[in-house]
Amino acid sequence: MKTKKTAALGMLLVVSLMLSYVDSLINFFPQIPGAKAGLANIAVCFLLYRYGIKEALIIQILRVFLMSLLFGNASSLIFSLTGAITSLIVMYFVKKTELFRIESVSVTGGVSHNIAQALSAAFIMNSPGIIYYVPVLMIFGVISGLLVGYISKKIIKIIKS
Amino acid sequence: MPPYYKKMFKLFHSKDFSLIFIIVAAAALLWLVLTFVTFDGNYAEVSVNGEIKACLPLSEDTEITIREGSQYNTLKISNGFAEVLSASCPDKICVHHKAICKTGETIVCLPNRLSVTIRGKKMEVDAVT
Repeated sequence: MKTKKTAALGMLLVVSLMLSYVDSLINFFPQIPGAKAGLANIAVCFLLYRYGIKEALIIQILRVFLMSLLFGNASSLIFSLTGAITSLIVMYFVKKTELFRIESVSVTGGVSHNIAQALSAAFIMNSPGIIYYVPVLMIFGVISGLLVGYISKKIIKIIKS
Repeated sequence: MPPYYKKMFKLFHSKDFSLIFIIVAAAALLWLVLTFVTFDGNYAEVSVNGEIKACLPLSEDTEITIREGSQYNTLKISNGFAEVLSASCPDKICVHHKAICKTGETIVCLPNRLSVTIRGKKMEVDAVT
């Protein structure tokens, strides 16, 4: 039965990569390098609710590494990795409190992803000016978090394996 | 009560709504703080590979092109704002970046290793090297 799970995770990794690619095509905010519609978080939410933190963490890390190998450069790796891991940890703890719906969990994930990514970019590129964008990023995080959460909820209901 | 009143009541009293409200309120608060605590800068410091190439006062409208080998970035200062008009880099992130004016704001062109930062203190060297 373990092969079934491995195969499913493999497919989810691919889905996550595809979503991440679509993310990188949509440019809501050309002025902020790295601001993306968080579609890739759909896969993360699904993993978190269907499987668990370990699987979600592995897929996230693999996805970030593969994406930066295929499409990015060394520095984008660090930003994305920080954002992805931070948002996953935040989402895990929020989900653990069992107080909030999946949409809100995904909102916290999206917002923390953006903030972490912006902060790491500001730190590495030595430009504190990026802080000016954090409020906007937070609002976008909320909006995309709600959307992602809604979609994740529907998908979790539909896929029953 | 009519059904939609009940729904509204539930929405405003849900934890989810409070969470989202807190995040939005924090964002608004941060924006307010940033607007009042930061200052317009005095000049734009342009560096390539860490070396300062030019210091351009924001008060004078200028347009200069920084070249490094086959790479170039064209900067424009106007109305106290600094922006990148055109560049040789493939992704043009620097060109799309919003014009900057506050101390600390930065436009970076990673492929060309160029960085434009707004500084607030007085310039010591008023020159383009």
